[in-house]
Formats: sequence, C-alpha cells, structure tokens
Amino acid sequence: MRYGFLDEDAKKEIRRATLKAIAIPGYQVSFASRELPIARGWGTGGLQVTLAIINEEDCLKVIDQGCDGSVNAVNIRNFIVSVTDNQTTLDTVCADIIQSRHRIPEEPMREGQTLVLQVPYPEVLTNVEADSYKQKVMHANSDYAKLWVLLYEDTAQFGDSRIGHRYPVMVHDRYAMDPSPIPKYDTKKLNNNKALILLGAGREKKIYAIPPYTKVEPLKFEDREFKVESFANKKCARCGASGVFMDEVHTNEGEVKFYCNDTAYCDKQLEKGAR
Amino acid sequence: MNNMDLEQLNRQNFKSLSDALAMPGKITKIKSVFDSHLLAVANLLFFNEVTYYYSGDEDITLIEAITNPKITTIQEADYILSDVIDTRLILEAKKGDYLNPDFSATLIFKCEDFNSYSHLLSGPGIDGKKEVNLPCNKKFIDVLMKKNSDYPLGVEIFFINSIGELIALSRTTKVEVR
Repeated sequence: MRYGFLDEDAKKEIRRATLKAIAIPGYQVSFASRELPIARGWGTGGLQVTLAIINEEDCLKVIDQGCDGSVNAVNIRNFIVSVTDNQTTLDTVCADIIQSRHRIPEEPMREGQTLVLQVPYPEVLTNVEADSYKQKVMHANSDYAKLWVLLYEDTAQFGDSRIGHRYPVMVHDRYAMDPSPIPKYDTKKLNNNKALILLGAGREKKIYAIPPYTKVEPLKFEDREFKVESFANKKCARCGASGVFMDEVHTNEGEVKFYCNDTAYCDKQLEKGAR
Repeated sequence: MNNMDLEQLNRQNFKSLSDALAMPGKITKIKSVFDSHLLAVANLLFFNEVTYYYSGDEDITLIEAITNPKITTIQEADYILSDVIDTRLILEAKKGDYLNPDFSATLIFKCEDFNSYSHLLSGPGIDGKKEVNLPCNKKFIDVLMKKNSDYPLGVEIFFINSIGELIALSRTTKVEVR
C-alpha cells in the first residue's frame, strides 16, 4: 500500500490547493476531490487534506463532535493508520495533526499543530444565494450584503441571529467564511489561533484555511453582542469540569445531566482529579 | 534514489513549505534532491497540471521528466524559479484575478544566506510583528508590496539559502524595511 493511500499527483494537487488556501485566508480553493474508501459526506475532504499533509513523524488525533471514540472518528483513524502506520494519540497537546468533525478541541492548540476540519457545506453564501457562480462573484467583490440582510432580518424579528452553529465569520477582513458546523462556542477560538487550521470539503471539492494568528471575527452588528452557548453554573457529571462546551443528556429517570463534549479533555480532568 | 524516497522527501519538505508560508518569517529546513534544495522544491511542487519558468543553471531536466510540468513564460507560470533574486520576475508574474486569486504565481528564489537586510513583518501567521533578516533590499520590497497591494491578488515568495533553509513571504505579509 502506498503511504497515505493517495497517489503522488493527487497529493501534489491537494498540497498546491492547501498552499494557496494558506496564502489567501478564507478563500475557497477548488481541488479534484478523489474517491476514497468512505463515502463523500463522511469526512473525505478532511481525510484527503490529512493524507496529503501527513508524514512519518506526525502524531495523529481524530475526533468526531469532540469524541475520540465515535464510529466516524474510529474508522477514519483506523484507515489513516492502516495506510501510514503513524502514531496516534487521544491527547490534544501531543498531537501534530488533529482531524476533527464539528469541534475545536477544548485545550488550546499550539504553534506547529494543524487542525483539519471536515466541512459538509463550505459555501457561506448558500443560504442567501443559490447560484454558485454568483456566489463566486460576491466573494470576488467582497459583497456580503445578503448575509447582512439575513442577519438584520433575524435580529429585527427575533432579537438575534437564529444561526446556532456554522456561524459565518469574516477572515482577515476580506472573506466571509463558513467555519464548518462548529458550535458558536468554538467560533471565538478561530481568532488568532496559534495552530494552522485547514478546512476540507470532499463532496464540494473545496479547501480553505486559516493560518495561525489570523483575525477571524463572527459576522455581527457592532451594537450586538456575539452570544455563545452558555453552560453557566453547569458542571460535568463525570469529571466536575465547568466553563467548557457540554452535552446535555436526559436520563431515563428524567434527570438532566451535563458532560464535557470533549471526551479527551474530560478524561484528562478525571485523571487529574484522581491523582 | 527510487520513487518512494522522493515521495518521502516530498512529505517532509511539504511540512517545511507549509510551515514557512503559514508563519511568514519562520525559517524551516528543506532536504535536498540530487544535491539541490531548489530541485527538491521543484520535485515537491511540480506535477502535470502546473506550469513553470526557470531562470538559472541547475539541471532541471530529470525533475521535469519525473514530474511532467509544462514550461512556459514568466507571465503564465504557476511557479517561477530563479538562481538570483530578480524584481523583474515579480513584476511580470501573474497575480490572479478577483474571481480566482489562486491563479497566481509562486516565486522561489535561491540566495546565499538571509543575512543581508533587516525587515519587520506583520500580517496573518505572525504574532504581532516579527523582525527577520531577508536577502532583499528596499527596492525589492517596494516592488513586492506594490504587487501585493491589491489583496487578494498577489504572489507568494520563498527564499532558499545555500544550506537549505527556507523562508517565505505570503501575499498577506506586510514588510517594513528597517
């Protein structure tokens, strides 16, 4: 089996798109998305980016909605290991490459790390403009009036934007960008993040990026606060952590419990507590 | 050297290239191919869908045969490689258009070392401001800043010194001459 599954020319094309994406933060670079042993829509964009950038020295972590143990994460991790034989980890701090679906890890990332986000819908303008050529023209002109109108209509009718996740962001004051379906809680982590963030959409054949220390701001009106999911006064029922993004679980007994969404972080807190 | 070795080198060198571009001013290291760091970068970037222009004395024929890119003019080239730092290449390089700013050139310059001139960098990839030495004078920086003034249009530049160190300037990088 060839290292990294993809043939060298495929990797070169993905690497070229990746370099251009790094050079133009937030701009979607087209690439020829390859067939993989998993179906499009199941993380093939992130997977192709990971396979094109990984080398023998990288330690890999794969998470799916904060969990290292979910089916999607396990299968993608197993596949990458089967074609690279690379070392893997559950620890955010130890990882060189983190492929993630819909979450940015709870622990801060550092310089030299790469976060690869799987993206189902890369086009931030999809909800306001269906024509893909017009979307491209709007990006070319930095014309995001329709997004602002959507935001205004929501604010006028409901007091705030109704967008719960995939909240649009402005990158380097130039491109509006879909940050993948991360919760609003994670949106602020994109700003000035120390790690390189690569976003891959396999079905839509797009790669885009946020280099480290790049200004990324949620699209919002100046007089409106950007509100994120609140877990005030909530503690993880497993490790006792607070101030983190949590899953709300309704038990059969009718109780409502909260758990850290980032399971590796939760395990670490539990380990710290046990010492 | 067999194919697998070249692919392994490409993997390692890509990490150096992407780190350098993601964090302009950071010095990374390139492993050579056929005793040449420039050929190593060419081998990493070239494939059958890209075009290039080379101005210099290195024997690029074998890398060209392996990777199959198309030779073209400065104005059309995706990759412009040069043994000397030449502002004319920046002036004539393509910088994309507003619809496709990625249809732009990447320039790779060889140089002896990075110690010639002190510059202050800022922009994405840089935590605040960063002082670095670059092998280019004020005239070169003025030409580059003018080329990249109409963001997102612009070019990326890599410098490779004689010991295989790499440093990059992205089109978003602001450079002030000290």
